[in-house]
Amino acid sequence: MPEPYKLTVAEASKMIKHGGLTPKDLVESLLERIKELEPKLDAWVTVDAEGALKAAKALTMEAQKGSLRSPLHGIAVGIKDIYATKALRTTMGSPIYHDNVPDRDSNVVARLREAGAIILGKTETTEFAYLDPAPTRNPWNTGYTPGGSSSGSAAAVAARMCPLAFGTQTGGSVMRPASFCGVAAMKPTHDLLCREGIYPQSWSLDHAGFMSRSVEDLKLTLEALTGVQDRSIIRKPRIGLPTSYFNEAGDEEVTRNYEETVKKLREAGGEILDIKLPDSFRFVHQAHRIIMFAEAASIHEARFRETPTLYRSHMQGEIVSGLIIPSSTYLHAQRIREKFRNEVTASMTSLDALLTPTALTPALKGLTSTGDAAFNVPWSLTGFPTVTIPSGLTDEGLPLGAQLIAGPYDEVKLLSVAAWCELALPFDAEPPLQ
Amino acid sequence: MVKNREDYVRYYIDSAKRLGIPIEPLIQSIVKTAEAAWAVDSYEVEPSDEPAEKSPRRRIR
Repeated sequence: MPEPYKLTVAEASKMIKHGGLTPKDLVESLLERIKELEPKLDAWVTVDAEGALKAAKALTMEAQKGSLRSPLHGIAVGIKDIYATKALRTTMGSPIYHDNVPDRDSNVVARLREAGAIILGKTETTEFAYLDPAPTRNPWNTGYTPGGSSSGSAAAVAARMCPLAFGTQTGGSVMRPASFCGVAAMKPTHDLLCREGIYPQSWSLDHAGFMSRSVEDLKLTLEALTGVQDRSIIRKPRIGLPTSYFNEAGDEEVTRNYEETVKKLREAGGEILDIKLPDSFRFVHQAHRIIMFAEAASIHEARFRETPTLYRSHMQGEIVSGLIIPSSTYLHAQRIREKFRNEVTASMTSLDALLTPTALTPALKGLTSTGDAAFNVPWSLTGFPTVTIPSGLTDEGLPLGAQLIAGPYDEVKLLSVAAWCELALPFDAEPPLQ
Repeated sequence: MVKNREDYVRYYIDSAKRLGIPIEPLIQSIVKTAEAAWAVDSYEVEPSDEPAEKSPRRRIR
């Protein structure tokens, strides 16, 4: 048997079901792994060893009696530090919340516990899930950013510190770090997962999402959280390629990898179709900025006026800019959003999914910038579900990703397409951490 | 009302100054937001918020 920390969700779940692994063994192995690698990576704000072991023992006893709550029974999970966790410090990556200990769980965390998942600890986030970076380093090269804002979750999954971790996305904060760290991730439709207890960046743009190391793991996680079970297999997906922007705005290695990805999918039997982006696409990034800034300013206004210096520079810029956006501009941005959503929905009706690169660049050198969310922003604006899977490595050995997008609530189909693509784009590289 | 990109930038910087917060380090963010607002406001969207094709599909349950 491999070391338990190396197991994916699906592998560990199967072994727990058949008695070949206990939740306690899994947690102990992951805690050892964290102890070994955390000094290099800074992926965790808080590791709850005591709480995780206590839960693992209880879930081990349940499993030994043949009682399994869900596919996540006994699976240890990392939680981005903007999800409230009962009796476990939740900082939002901000000194304002340095000592904040919630008295209840966020909805997603409560559901995870009910499903038998074990909360291993809280992962690093950028300040209030915006752009001011976390200290986390990329497991593929510690001189590079892991991306953000779900920085610790992506690094922890990539480094085999946990097989599953949760993040949030307002622009590209689940997809981009997953791509930079070479893991799979899903951002379901905007309101599919309840955001109660997650500190907001922007009410109408925030999404809960999760990262793991395979599409099968994403399927099992969605199943545990929503009860939707589907094992359908797609034979010949119809995949749309935008004929502008996504095929030309990325850096050279990203664009080359995208072309190679398309070639491999076509050779595997996928039906690849060109899709023209609607005219309203030209304004989606600006509309996103206006909406996100106005909503963030509304969330932070009172505290910012009292203690502006407790915010870091990107957050200060977002709040001040957001405070001066006229309501008419905010509403105009919302109308552009609706127009784009309607137009792009119409252009996707004959498709199973759209395909784009996940990020404009591979992970950037240094820790001052978490990268650019431009390829993810349109789908955060529409609220459509997205999945990213690894699609290769750069010459420097940094991961690249392929992003798949489906229409609202088409998660089951999206995951089937992603599973098909994963087979056509085998990726078995691991971060060189030993 | 402001009419071009330069007017937008001036309007946003003046508005930010009125907040009484030192804005010099934030100028880049304010200018980018002013430019986004200019782009958003310059794009014409039909006054109706209801897509035409949506209505006939609705059914009373």
